[in-house]
Amino acid sequence: MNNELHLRNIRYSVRDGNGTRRVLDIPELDLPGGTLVGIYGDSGSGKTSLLNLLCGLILPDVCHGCELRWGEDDLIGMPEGRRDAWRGRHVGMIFQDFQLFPQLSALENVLLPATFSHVRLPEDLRVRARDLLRRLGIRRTDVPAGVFSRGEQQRVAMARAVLFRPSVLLADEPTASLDRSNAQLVTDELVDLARSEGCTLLVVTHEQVLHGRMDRRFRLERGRLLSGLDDDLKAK
Amino acid sequence: MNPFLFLRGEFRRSWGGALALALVLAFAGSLSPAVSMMERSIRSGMARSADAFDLLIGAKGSAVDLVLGTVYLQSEPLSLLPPETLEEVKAHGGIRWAAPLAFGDRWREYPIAGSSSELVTLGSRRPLASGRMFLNPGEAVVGAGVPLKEGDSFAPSHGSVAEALLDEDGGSARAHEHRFQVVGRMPATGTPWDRAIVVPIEALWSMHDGGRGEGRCSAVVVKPVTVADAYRLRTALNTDSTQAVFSGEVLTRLFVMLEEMHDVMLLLASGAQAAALAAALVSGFFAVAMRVKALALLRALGASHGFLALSVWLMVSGILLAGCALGLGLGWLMASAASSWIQAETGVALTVSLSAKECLTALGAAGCGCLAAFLPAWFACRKTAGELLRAA
Repeated sequence: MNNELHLRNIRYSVRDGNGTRRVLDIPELDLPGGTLVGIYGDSGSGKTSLLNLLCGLILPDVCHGCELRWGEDDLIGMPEGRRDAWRGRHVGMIFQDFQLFPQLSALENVLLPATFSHVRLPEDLRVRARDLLRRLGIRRTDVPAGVFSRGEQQRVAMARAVLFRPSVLLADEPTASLDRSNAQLVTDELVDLARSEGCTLLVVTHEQVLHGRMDRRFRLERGRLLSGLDDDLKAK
Repeated sequence: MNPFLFLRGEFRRSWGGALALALVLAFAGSLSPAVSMMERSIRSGMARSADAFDLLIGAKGSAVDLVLGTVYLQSEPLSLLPPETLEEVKAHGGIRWAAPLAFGDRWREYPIAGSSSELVTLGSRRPLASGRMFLNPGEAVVGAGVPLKEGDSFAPSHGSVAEALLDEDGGSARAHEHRFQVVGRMPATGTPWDRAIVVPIEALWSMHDGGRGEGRCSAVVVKPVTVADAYRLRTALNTDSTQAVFSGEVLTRLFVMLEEMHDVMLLLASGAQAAALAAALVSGFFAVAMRVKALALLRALGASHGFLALSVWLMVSGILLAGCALGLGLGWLMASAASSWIQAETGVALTVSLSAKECLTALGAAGCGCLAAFLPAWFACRKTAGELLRAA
């Protein structure tokens, strides 16, 4: 898949009491494929909603001329079932709290997304899952994920995210709940993975170190995407 | 798609709750097969016990008491027949064999029946398991379940078995002076007669009232030659002072009552099972509500509506199926335990077996449950990914 991002006239609102509240308002954004992007902003500025929108979990408000497109894939015009399949195939997601299934082993967690589309898991997927875990320093692949340290859990989650060689990687505060050394490790691995797999990476983070490794940085303010504010980031 | 990996994790996480739910379902689902299996085994056990007692002649009174007292050796107070009854019965002809029966004595909790060799051998058609037939008033033949060996001797006590169980000293204070020696053992029949001791009726006559009761008995068991003879004898022997009953007819009346009880029990059991199935479904809805975060995560990772629906349906249906299967097994165990107790109490051997009827009933309940499990499955998949994310 061509992993260039094109957004036009994107607005997203949620119900708030008797009325609605505008969460996102992005008139235009184009990102070349393979770009590494950092996003930051205050609580409630719409960061997580933006990630959910970019992977098609939520759709923008209905409007004329709005566009949410990855390469040739138009998410707005895509039926929900196809959008699920597209997300499973092309998007890797990494969360702040890892979101692993603690009773499943590290290997099973990595392979779980493959069960959405396979009755019997192909051997090459198993091999890739083991390779990814080994590459990310996870040796005990058959141990329940719940017993791992937080840093290890995030690395398992990263392996799960890139199992299908996604063209888009979305990460929501991937280092926020890690100590400094684990945060550094995850930062290095995330950037390396994105570069080596050729992914477009969008990371919501407040970590200056992580932003420093990105190609571009954006600040979200009340749902509006403001670019090029590196001084502002340094001030934070 | 293959939701079994996800389900494995979910069952590992909440196996205690799933097991508890399956056990509640199993218990509720066990009552219905247990009642059915019990009813069937009691029916066949009772019918088998009455095989040797085609036609019973007793004093005028309750036909049910006559059957319970003679066929099942229950301590029913039976009026005595006039002394000449046995000879009158034999005089009617069309009889393969006829044997008098007298009760009232016991050894420990084993009833003693005074009769003749015809009853013991069913008219020379059933050989003894060991030993020989009694030949004089001091000898006895015991049932297969009586703890006396050939050569043992014992003193009978006066009174019914029920009285023996109430006596603190086992009835020894009311023991007769007369002693019997065991000379033979009857084969096991799986009937209350396995617990009986049969002695010559003449011995009982001589032990009671100084022989003044000679010729009197509680009942006469008759084996007619043909069915026509049986009906003719029944008509002829139903007089002002005697009644003639087919044990099968009385059993049929008892079975009607048993069936009515069975139907009521089955209704209650079905109600319990329906309530448990409904509780399982409600639990299914709760399980979905509690797993909103996990379901939202699955959607985020690329799972379709169908994957979520199939996962929830399999989870709820799996618990329901396990509960129904366990219920069948538990029902069989309960029916077996109850049968063992009844057998110990009455001597009627009851064979409990699982029939297609119970299996089909359990399958029907499981099928209804699996159909109803589509409701929580639909509940899980009707939400959009956005709704799930907001709920999580």
